[in-house]
This record gives sequence, C-alpha cells and structure tokens, in this order.
Amino acid sequence: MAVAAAVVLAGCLASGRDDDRFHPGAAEIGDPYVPGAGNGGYDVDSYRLAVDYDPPSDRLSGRAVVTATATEPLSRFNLDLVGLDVSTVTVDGTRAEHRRDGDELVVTPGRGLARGSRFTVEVAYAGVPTARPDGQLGSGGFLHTDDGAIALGQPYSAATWFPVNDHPADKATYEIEVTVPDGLEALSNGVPGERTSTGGRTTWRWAERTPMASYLSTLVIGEYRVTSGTHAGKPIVTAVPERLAATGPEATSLARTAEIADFLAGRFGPYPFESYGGIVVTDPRVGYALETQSRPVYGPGFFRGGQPNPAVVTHELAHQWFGNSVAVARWRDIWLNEGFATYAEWLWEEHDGGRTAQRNFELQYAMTDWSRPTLDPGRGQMFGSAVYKRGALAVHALRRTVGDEAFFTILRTWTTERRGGNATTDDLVALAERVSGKSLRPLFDAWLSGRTAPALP
Amino acid sequence: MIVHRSPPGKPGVKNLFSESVYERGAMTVHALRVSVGDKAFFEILKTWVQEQRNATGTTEEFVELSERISGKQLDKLFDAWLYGTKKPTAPKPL
Ligand SMILES: [Zn+2]
Repeated sequence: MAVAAAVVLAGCLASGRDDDRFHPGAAEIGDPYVPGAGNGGYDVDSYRLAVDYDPPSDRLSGRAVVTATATEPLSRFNLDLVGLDVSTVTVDGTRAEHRRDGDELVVTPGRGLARGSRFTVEVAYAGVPTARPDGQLGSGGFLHTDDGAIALGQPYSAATWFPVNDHPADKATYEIEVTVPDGLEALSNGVPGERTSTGGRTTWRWAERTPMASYLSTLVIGEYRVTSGTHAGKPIVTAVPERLAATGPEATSLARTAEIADFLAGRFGPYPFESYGGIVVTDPRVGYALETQSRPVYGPGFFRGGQPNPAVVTHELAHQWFGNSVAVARWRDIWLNEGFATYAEWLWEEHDGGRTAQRNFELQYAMTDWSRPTLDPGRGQMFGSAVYKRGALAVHALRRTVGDEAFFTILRTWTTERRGGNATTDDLVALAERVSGKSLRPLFDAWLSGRTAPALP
Repeated sequence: MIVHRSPPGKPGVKNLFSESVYERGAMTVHALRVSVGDKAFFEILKTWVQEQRNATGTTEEFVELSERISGKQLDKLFDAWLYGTKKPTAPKPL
C-alpha cells in the first residue's frame, strides 16, 4: 500500500511539473456532445478573416489572422479546420511547422508560448469547402448553392471555412472580408464596413465587435436584395433572395425585425449587439432557422404558408440575448438557449393577441413526455422537444414561483451580468435564488430533470 | 435554432406521389377525427375549405386551424402521424 501510494504521489508531482513546462495543447475542448471540437491551451481574442470565393469553381481561398492568449505554456496547439489545404502558417510573424490530423490543424511554433502570452497566428489556406452533414438537422457547414454559398450550422460550421477554436466556450470578436464577383452580395455578421471593387471583384466587409461563439458566424453569398437602414442608432441590414417577391412573406417577416427586437428588449433588457438584421435563404438543405449573431438566417420552410412568420423571427431574435450574448459553456445546457427562445415565442404570442403564456404553459404541460430530461438531454436530443418545450415550461414555472417582478429582474440581471460571456444552469439557479431570496434548486431539478410531471407551482 | 419539420408536408420530389402521401394522409385525417370528435372535425373541414378558397394551404395552417376550432393542442398528433418515423399510437379522444 505504502509503495503504491508513493508511486501515485510521485506521478502527481511529475505531472505537476510537466504542467509548467511547454507541452502540447489539448486537441479538443472536452465537450462530450461535440467530440473533437474546440481545443485546449489558449483563448482566442479575435479573428480577422479575408476570404475570396469563386462560385463557378466553388473554390475559396483565405487568410485568417487569429490573435489568442496562451492559458498554458504551449509547445504546440491545434485549430479546427475541415478539409481545405493550408499553405503557410506563421506565429508572431515567424514561419511555424504545421500538419493536418483529421479535422485538426496542428501548429508547432519555433519556440514555446509562455502562459499568459498573447500571440498571433496567420494561416493561408484554399480549397473547395465541404458540408458537415448531420442527418437530424439537415446540412450544416459550407453549402454551395446555385448562385453562391451559405456557411451555417449548429453545433458547428465555422471550421469548414476558416481555422478556428470551434466551441462556444471560446468567444471572440470578428472582422470578416469577403471578396466575390461583382454583382453578387456577400453577407455576414455585425456592422457593415466599406465595400470596394477592383478587377471585376467586390470586397464586402463586416465587423462583429461583441464577443461571438464560432457557430454563430455565417457567410451568405448570392443574388440578394439587401435592405439597409438604422434602428435605435444601430445599422440594420436584411437580405432576401432576389428571386423572391419584395412584398412576399419572407420580406414582410424580416421587416418586423426592429419591432420584435424592441418588444424583446422591453422584457429582457437592452439589445446586446451593435447591429440588427436577418437573411432569408431558399436552399432547401437549410431546413432550419439559426440565430447567427446580430443577423439570423431563416431557411425557406418557415414561409411556405404565404403568411408572415413573426414567431420564427421572435425565436431567433430572443437568442441574441439567450444563447448569443449569454452563451453556453457546454452543450448540455442548451436549454438555456432554446427554453428561453421558446418562452419568448409565448410572450410574443400573448402580446400579439394570441394565447397567453399561461395558456401555452397549461397546454404544453398536459402533453409533455416527462421521461426526457431538459438539462443534459444527450447529443441526439439537443434539438428535441424536452429542450425547447419542457425548457419553456421550466422558465414559466420559475415565473409562477417567484412572481413577475422577481422573474423579470432575474432575466434582466442575467443578460446584464453575463453579457458577452458564457454561463451554466448552476449560474442561473444561483442568480434566481439571489434575486428571489428563495431556495430554488428543487424547482429547477423537478422541471429540468425529474422523470414525472412536477406539481404545478 | 428552430428545425423546420416537414415529411408528408415535405415528401421531396421523389416521393411526392408516394403511398405515404395518400395512405398516411388519410389515416392522419381519421386520427384527427377520432381525437377531436365528429363535431369539431367537420367544422374544421368546412372552415378550411372556406378560409383557404382561392388560396393554397399549408400543413402548418391546417394544424393552426384545427387547434383553434377544437381548442386542443394538436401538433404532437400531427407530428406523429405526418412526420414520425415510428408507428403512432392508436388515436383516442383528447
Ligand atoms: Zn432556437
């Protein structure tokens, strides 16, 4: 026993020493919902991306400047990159060794990176980007369309068009330059910048200066009718495919973006980003709408009825507070995004003269399958009704328990204190208890994880 | 994220006239009738034909209308009968 204990102790000391020596950063962040995604040993501050896309050949060439801070002493580190050929990598201006290992780009700088040091990686790359198929969600990743391309997808898509620490736990700011043939539009996140044309090609510029999770980045290239304006002193940019009528349900739904964002700001606190917007796409592979930061992307299915669809706009805009500004640290907490976005739909419906939130709660309560958990639903149920509908029930149960005043104070405090960061379910429980002065752990446990219907609050 | 739900609503070009659109569509209609009762059921059909005259209707609108008239939440029923990949449970009055 004594001998065994001594060996274990020696092992601990040895690994403790190793930790202070330069060592390789982890090849994944360690989120079981997305094996291989993200990396360890550093934290990205900003991405500056310049990509050139040629629709006829589907070829993309890019330069990514990634500025990061080492959180461990690193002998080498990884970025996530799916497909594409890397020609050169520099770290702080000096050529670095690089190799590919599946969906990883492994970079070995000439000298180690000290813990706490800030470093800049520049990657030059090119190739034909690929989709990341996911049977349950329709295609994500980089989709070649008949007039351009769409880069989009949750839980990941960014690594199909730039080298990235592809996990929401590592948020960063973005500057994105996209060069396309004259006559095509190139849309992305954030505030629009200067547009320049030379030699038959136009460069579009976008800046998202509020920290953004990588899966919330997007690129939409094609023939779009772009509408630009200002709302509440911030740019608002919406885009609808040129082939769709200017007065169709897509355009009229997007036209309600400012009104719905203001409604939500009245409930959740100030809008968290520097710009507004939305993009409708017609590619049938986009069988979803996604809350890409400041500018959600809506697939074609939501407008087939011929009527405007403010509910889907409400859902994706609600994510700007719940999911984007306050992001998950691990995907097991995805109900923090979807439960609140679904609840926002109930609030909008009540505001719009439809069912009250209370009525939706009662109807949903009666039809919920309590055998499926909301918290930690498993990879296959990330987008299941336990996350969305049962998640919204949990939100309303909290409201019923603490009362309207404490409830909306909790929401506003959450979006203020956690603005631009990441949070967990435990963080929400702690905040709700602090604001309400009530012990709420049993309530959250019952509504998020219990296997039977909880008593009505 | 909202995933847009689709099959016989969105069978795809290949399966547009497949058995599932006709047979399963008819079974769905009957499941609705059993679930909401005859009175609400025929009210739904009558209203649907009137409201959608000279227009095209979508599955979503039909679900909306059925819920409005019956006062019951029916998306789970339609999901199971139209889009589910498993055999739905036999319908019973809701
Ligand atoms: Zn969502």
